[in-house]
Amino acid sequence: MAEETGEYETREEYEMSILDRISDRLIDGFASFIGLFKKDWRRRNQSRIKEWKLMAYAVNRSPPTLLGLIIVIVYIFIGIFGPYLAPWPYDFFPVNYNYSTQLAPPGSTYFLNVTQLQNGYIIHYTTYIHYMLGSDTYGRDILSILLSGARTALVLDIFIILIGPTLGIILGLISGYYGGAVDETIMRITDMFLAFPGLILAIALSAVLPGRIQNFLNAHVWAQTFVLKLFALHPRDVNNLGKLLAVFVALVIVWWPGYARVTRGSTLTEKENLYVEAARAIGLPTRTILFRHILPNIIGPILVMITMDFGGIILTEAGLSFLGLGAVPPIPDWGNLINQGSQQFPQAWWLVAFPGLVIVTVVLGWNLLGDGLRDILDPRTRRSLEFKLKKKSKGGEASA
Amino acid sequence: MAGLGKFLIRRGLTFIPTLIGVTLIVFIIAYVIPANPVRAWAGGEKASQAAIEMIKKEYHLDQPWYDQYWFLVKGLFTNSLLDPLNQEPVFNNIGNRFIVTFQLALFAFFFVILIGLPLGIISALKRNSATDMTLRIIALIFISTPIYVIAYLFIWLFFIHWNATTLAGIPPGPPHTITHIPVIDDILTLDWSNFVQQVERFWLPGFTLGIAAAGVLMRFTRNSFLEAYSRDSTLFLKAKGVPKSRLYRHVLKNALVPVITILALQFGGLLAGTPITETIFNLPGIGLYALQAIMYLDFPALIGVTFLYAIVFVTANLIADILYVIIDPRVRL
Amino acid sequence: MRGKVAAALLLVFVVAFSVAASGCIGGGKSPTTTTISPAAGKSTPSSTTSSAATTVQSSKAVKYIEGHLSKATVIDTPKYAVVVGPAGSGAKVSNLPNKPVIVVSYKVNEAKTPSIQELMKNQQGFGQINPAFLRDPNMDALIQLARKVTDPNIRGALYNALYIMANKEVPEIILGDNKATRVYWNWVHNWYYNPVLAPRWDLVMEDKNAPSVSIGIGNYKNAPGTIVETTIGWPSSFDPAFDYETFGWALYHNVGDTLVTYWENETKKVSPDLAVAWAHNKDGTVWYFVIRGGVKAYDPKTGELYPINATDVEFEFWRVLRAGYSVNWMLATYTNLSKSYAMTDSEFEKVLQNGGVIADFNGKTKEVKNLNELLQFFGYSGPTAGVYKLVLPHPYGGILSVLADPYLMVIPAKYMLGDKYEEAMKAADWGKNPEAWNNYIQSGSKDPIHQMLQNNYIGVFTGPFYIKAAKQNSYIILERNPHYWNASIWNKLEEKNPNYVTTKMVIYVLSNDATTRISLFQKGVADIAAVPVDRLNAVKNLKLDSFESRIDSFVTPDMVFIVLNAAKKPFDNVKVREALAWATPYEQIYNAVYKGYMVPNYGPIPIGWLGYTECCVIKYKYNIGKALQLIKEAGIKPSDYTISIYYNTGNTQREKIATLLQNTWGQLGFKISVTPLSWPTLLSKTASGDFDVYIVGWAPDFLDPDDYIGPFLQSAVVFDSLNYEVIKG
Repeated sequence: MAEETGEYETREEYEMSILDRISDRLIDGFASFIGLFKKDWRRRNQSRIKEWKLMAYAVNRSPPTLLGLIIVIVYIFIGIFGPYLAPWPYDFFPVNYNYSTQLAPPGSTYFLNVTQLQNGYIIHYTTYIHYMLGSDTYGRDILSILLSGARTALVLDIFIILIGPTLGIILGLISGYYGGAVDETIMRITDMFLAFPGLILAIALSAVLPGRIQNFLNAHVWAQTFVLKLFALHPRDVNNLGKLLAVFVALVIVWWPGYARVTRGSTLTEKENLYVEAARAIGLPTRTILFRHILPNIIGPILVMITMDFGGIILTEAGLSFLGLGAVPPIPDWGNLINQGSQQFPQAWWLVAFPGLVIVTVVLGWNLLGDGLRDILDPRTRRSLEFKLKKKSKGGEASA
Repeated sequence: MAGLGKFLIRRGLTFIPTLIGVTLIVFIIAYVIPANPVRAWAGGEKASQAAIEMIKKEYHLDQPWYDQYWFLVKGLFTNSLLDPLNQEPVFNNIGNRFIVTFQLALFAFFFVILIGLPLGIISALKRNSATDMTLRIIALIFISTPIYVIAYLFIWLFFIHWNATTLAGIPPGPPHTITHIPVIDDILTLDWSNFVQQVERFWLPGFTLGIAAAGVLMRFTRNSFLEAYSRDSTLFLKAKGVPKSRLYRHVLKNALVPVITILALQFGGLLAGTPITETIFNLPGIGLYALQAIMYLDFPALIGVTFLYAIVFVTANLIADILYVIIDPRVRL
Repeated sequence: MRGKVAAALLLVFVVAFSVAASGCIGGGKSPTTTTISPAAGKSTPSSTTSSAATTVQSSKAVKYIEGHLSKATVIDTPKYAVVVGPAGSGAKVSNLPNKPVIVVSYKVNEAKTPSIQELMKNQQGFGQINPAFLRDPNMDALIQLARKVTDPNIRGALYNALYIMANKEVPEIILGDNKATRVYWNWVHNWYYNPVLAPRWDLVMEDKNAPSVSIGIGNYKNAPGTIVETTIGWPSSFDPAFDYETFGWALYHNVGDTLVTYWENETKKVSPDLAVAWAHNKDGTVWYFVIRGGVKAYDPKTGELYPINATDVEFEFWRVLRAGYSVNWMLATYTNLSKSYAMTDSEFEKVLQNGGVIADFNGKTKEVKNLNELLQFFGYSGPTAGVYKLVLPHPYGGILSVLADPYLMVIPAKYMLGDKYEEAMKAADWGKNPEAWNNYIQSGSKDPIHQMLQNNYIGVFTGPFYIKAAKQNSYIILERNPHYWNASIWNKLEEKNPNYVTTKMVIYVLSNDATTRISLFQKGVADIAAVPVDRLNAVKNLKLDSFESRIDSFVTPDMVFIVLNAAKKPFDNVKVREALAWATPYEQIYNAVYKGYMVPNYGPIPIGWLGYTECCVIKYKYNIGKALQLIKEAGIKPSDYTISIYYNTGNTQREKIATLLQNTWGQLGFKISVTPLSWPTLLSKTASGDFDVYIVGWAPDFLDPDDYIGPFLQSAVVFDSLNYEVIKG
């Protein structure tokens, strides 16, 4: 009966593919995991779990989104494990031992005669170094730097997103909800930051902050250890952290106003809904209304923004490195490689091509994911999927 | 539209505090740095103590911060404030460089509209087809690539390989200047040889800058178009049996409303200067000037640049809002 | 299905990746560790006495020293032995080499001598005191003495001694002398090199058959007869009194004239330019410059010509001093402009008749009694336009060198003062009372003359070219001055070289991006390009028509120093400084950073200059064992110290140097970090002594070792008395 065609488009029929089954298992597993802590959780959140599964189906059905997801997962994986997988340490400079290793083309191999002083003893050893992707101006293996640099990028990403947009969202919620003078002040302040082009503001801050941050770090050892471990850096490099963290602070300051604006706009429209008035009527505290009622309803577009911004932050940070701000060798950083490469262009093309390719892939991955998320978060997508799935398996569906 | 007048006045009133706020922020950031820029202004390592003292007095650097701020602002607007790095009045510097940036923005904008709009519409019309997918992926790739990678690639291709552009300096404008913007003046005075020279110089940086923005516009246009298409009004027209061309025209009109506001904002963004493009293509524009000012803690230049940015930002937003109001009769102030 | 494929891809990717990674891990290092026990190093030579040749004690000298110095430091130089110390008695020396001895004694005025803390507070690093904040009264004594002495032999010995002392004390580690590279197409001929002055393009020629390439700026083409240089920079002002950087000076050298100049690649003596002859009194404190007649400054906007005379010279010098910008330090230190003035020819004749005026030129010296004699001595027979009397507070051996600097080019006073000319001249009694001019010239950038010069950048100058057009940070176009006083040399050049043409137009295309400059050069748009040393491969072996690209390189006096803060631990111990000098990877830096375009130098005087010597100095090389030995001798624990190496953001060469230093110095046990700072911040911190180590470069202002030794070794010591005596035999 449903297969009758007419003026309507043919209904496609969706089977449960293997990916769907995998995602189902994963989500069920996750639910059970939480069920270990909160006994009743599975039962009470059944519809929520179902929504998650539908979202997963939507992802599975969109190849670009799936590609994006895979790239993002690989990026996170390398971000965490990269520094340990890198064949050569990031602070080993072969150029000290053999000048030809500087800007070596991909696929070349060189002989190194290393003399180093370690703990008061001179050690000698010889070794071959093979450059799969070429070397930079210090002779470092680009593959290793790409792997180690993923950690830098990932940490920057996570922490900037954790702080910047969060700040912006909170301010936007408050501003949109209360309106009046509060709204005006917050919006004016936001405007002031927005009026300044993001890149220029980031440059200004990156030029200004390193000294102060370095002083702070030098004064507090716990901060030093924390940051060093986070970025997988040798304690020797502690004094180079100032510049890196300056970029971080700069990007946080540049990033929050956009979210404040968007959140405020959404809050303004959302708060006119009846349920908000109802919540107020029953005397819920403002905090609850904002975070448990309004926020989940407006989070959709914001979540998309966040996903795209993971990529955007990498791009901006690479841009800052190009201008000479940001991480300085020996700290491994993708943007810094391209900076070196741009000065050698087009002779040492591998210094631009490979880091560039990596950056493009990662940012592309996040953008694809963000795109897909936009579709997924639209309830109509999920509903249509649900509808089509139900239609197919008539008797007893697999999904819960 | 009586509301428009009041709207403008309201916006105008909030413009002033924004302006002051922005410049104040920048000034405080620059002021807070524990560095004495005068040494750099006075000749670097070879600066003499006497010269440092003299310059300090000249720029009121031994006065409290509010005195300095007022001195800079006053000097900027009476055109008596000299940029310590090249002894030119800051206003003149900014004016000259803004022209370059404006021209670059024009070229970039041209490409943005030329590429972004049609491709966005095509992508929307053929939604979910192979064309659509390809276009979206290509757009995403361009958005995801750092601009200097694109720039170097293009320079290698178009300048070294194909000799299709020039990179030397900025060609002078035509002899008769009306708007002071060379390209526009060329068109107005029909000076074609100069026009060709300007195009030769600016098309590649404009293209590089425009491509990423075109990608954004393309996606936005596509979404907007689809959204307008799925509205009830379109359904109604379809039901009425209106021919496809008229249908699409209707949809387009509705779709373009948010697009135009985005375009206004994008142009404002382009005007704010893009230091990276300007560095690579050697265009002495506002972005480079701001970069230099930050590096050398050139307070006079920083204040001037900040004012410019604030004006550009507010104007762009204002125009976007006004356009929105004019085009979409549903929006009331 | 599509999902399956994706999952399979993911699996394959992960597997392949881990295989590759592990493969790299496995096949990479195969360390064969041979551990050597703590490195043994040779002991360093002692720094005070070194017996070069026979050590016959010159008893006369020893007695003199014992009677006049309370402490003696002996420095052996090639021709003399220099002994310096505070005045007093009782100093005993042994092993004095068998050479004439220069004994320098001094008495320090402790009250007037500022303390290091004071100097730091007043941000005097690179000002009154050297950037390392090292205080050594011996060095100050020698520096101040060398300024006053006129005998070139004694001067040479003093600078030798300072060179050697700096080498042993190592307040700054000398990385080396830069080798400059010149990238040009070989249709450019006769392009000479001068360490201090930019080339005068009218003396450079091009092959008649060179290709003609359109530039993209207006209708200008790079044809034979037009030199196009693509380089970095922009004059920080079009007023020479306000400009203190290389590009501005290169421009001024081509559009203006100074009193004397260095002709082409000459470095030892000056040639007449605006001054046709000069002479000085016996002790060198008063100099007379006879000004060339018939020189006219050309105003391209109006076509007007302004004749130049000695009063113009005096006015311009006064203006530069009064303007107060940093570049006037040379005038402020070495000249006394209040007592200097312009005289007429007859006044000068009277002075000559009174006797005591000596002229040196071309190796000959003569006392001249009248103007004709003087002009004949210089081989000049043309009109003159007055004489400029320049008074010096004390004799200075390098004064002629200072006067050759382009910022002292002469601009007609009538043009600058406009309608106030008559009034100003009367008020100053036509130059006899220059102080009166202070009413017409202000200090600083508010001065109307300065603003006029800045806005009218086309200017009114006397040189071989005039500025035709300029666009900020974009291009500057120079065209041949039709009224140049020395235009005859162009015809002579073309007669001698029939296949070449002289330069009629110069176009500077300015670009901060090296890739653009290289691209412009590759296309033939530029004849000459400024190319960083690590990108020279891109401009090697290029061909255009029948011409090739060429890269010439030569040693320049530009040097790179690594400054150690000698007032701060651990650098206050000379052994630590020495250790760091042995731990610096010179060869690696030359190769990795400068691509071989740097040569070693062991002291702060450029190679080949007066005072440079290769004897008696420690020739530092990278020797980590020796460094370790010295650290042990110094008795410090390196891991106690965190050292920050500063450099200015954006300077990639210094960034690389700092990174390499971090790598090797770190092996000694120090905690090293590399910190880029913005230029103003760096200047501030280093001037106030708030740093550990930083990297700095230095280029000469004029051709005299004092321009290096002074800034790099002086420490603001004030003396009550300073004497020297030469003891022979």
